[in-house]
Amino acid sequence: MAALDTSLPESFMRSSDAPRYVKAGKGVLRFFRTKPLGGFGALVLVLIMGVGAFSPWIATHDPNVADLNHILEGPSSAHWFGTDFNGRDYFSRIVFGCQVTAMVGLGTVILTAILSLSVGLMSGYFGGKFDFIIQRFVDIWLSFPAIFLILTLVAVLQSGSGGGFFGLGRGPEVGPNPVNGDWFWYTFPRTTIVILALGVVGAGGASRVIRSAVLGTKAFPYVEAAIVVGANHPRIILKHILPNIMPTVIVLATIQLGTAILAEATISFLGVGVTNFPTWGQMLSGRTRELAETHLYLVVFPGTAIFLAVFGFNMLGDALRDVLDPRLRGTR
Amino acid sequence: MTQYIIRRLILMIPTLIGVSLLIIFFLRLLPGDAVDILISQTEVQGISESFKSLVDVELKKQGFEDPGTAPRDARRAVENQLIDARLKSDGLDPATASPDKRNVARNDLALQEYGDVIRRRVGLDKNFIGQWWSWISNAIRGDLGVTLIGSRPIDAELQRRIPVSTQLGLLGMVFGVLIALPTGIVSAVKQDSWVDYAMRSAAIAMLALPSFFLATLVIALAGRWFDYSFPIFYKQLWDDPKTNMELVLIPGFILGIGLSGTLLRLTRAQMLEVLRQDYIRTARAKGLGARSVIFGHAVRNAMIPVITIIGLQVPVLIGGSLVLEQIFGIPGIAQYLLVSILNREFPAIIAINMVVAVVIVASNLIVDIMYAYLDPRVKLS
Repeated sequence: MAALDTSLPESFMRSSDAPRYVKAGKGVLRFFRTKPLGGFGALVLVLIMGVGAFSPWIATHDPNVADLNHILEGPSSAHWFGTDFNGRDYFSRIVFGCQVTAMVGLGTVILTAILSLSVGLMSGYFGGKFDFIIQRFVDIWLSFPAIFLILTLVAVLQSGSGGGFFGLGRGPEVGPNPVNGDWFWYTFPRTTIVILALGVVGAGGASRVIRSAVLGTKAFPYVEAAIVVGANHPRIILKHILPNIMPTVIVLATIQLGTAILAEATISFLGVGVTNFPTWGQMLSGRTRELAETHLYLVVFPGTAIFLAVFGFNMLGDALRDVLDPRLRGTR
Repeated sequence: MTQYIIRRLILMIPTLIGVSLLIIFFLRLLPGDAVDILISQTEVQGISESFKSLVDVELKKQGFEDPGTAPRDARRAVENQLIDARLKSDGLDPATASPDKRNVARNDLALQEYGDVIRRRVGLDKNFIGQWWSWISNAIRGDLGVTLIGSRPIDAELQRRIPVSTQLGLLGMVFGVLIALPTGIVSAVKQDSWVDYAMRSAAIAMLALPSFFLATLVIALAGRWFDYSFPIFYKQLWDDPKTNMELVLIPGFILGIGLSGTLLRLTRAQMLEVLRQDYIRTARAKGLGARSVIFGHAVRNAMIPVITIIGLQVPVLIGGSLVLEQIFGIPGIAQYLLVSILNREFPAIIAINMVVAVVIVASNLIVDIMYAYLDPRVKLS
């Protein structure tokens, strides 16, 4: 009696036998090949996080040291992006601006994810009266232009001298030099306030998207099966629903990253956000605008940096949506 | 239909109450010393006035009908009494205190009274609900309060600024639609061609382009290439239409660009949805020309959700006008918010946010009603 051949076709074997990192690597390569603009967005993400983390080593000059002998010089080999009206190196300021961009972007996305996931999951899963009441609160949240709410929140949280709200206060107006000094603790109060405002305001709209994803997932038979088997609510939410809405969450987070960076730049431009550290939005405001006509590069460099970051994240979000979650197509 | 509208109007009330509670709650988060900061920024005039009013109150207690006509020595005596009491509470002996110390005590008294007046005006002397109730009952009667510094009425300021913002917002909406609809339709009809890809990338680029960057570039390049500078002072449309349009047209266009990214993508998605429908195939099968199919059948049906989304962009328009009003010096409502925030003018911040929320809630209602009217399939329940 011939032994039963239980081996699988060779092609199938090969793909399942390959170690996980090889498969993941292939997936990433395919993503870059089929979605070049999404790949560009991924590169922008890596670039901003990398430059933000290593900015003291990448910057060629101290971003806060004014050199009055070299004010408003155009781009040259000594100053790659030129110098500003105080003679500070523009390239180094853009490099250090990455820190605020990266911190605010990441912090906001994490805070928004926590808030909108808890609200969206609970509201969508339990439904009924609970859902109705929670959604009326979200209605209230969405009755303001986001930027109005952000500005009001930041202003309120930054008010008060010394301790201020939650002991955050405003932080020092002029602090140690960010190259050698403890720059993180120096910008910490203001960055935290901006993150709090952006995260809380962004969570309203995001929770709506998550709620509708939960409603879609809840209707699947496997959730019903879990209920029949006797799984409790936390188990169903965390083990059965959350993993299935993860693609939506990832796509949402990527797009939120772009939105948060744009909002941070906007409030910095208006002179409200992280005002004691170089940020891209702040570099475009004040005297830069007066000098824009004669020194165009002062506007072009930070503006392009903001544009590329936001454009890259939107493209990445779009590409991820096509790959991970076709349901979301055309929602934004 | 009437019933539906009435029900929606009633549902608006709890939302608006929630909105007002939320704004006042935010301002309650303020640490107590916010008023002190405000005081440290105010002019001496207001503070010495408040000392005078403190003395007036004391004079009234002593039986003077009109404190303004009280004899000078009576006033002086009361002033000294107040200062002595303050010195005593500070642990100093009023009899031996130097004139400097007396001056300091007088100043402290005045500052405290001034702070109390402001706290009373903002409602910080009451609890949260009391403060909310006094604000909302005044607001319903049309009184939005006065600014902390200068005591200027806020509603008069809003009345001046709302038409300005409305003009800018409408221009932005018109430009946004003019850009997005044709490109969205072309993008859908030529799906997956290079035109489609270019337009879709452009739509994402428009979403990513910071309006303040674009505005600064436009102003700089207009000066550089055409030696043109924008008018510095805003003129009302009915006073000086040419200056007004010169100043508002470009910001309106930039606002429209920001809006068009979202609209383009939605128009395209809706067109693709409609173009797949059976009645489009029928129209083609019976021999209608491409133009007649697209404009006669497809666009008309695709526009229903697009129109409602245009209405839902009102918050985006108001938020976007913030930066543009600031850059171009247009005295609109968003610029007023920014000025109020920078000056910590809390009564004005509450009033502006409230007015804007009312506009947004109302526009959402209009959108829903229009949707029900345009699309008979929508159930009014």
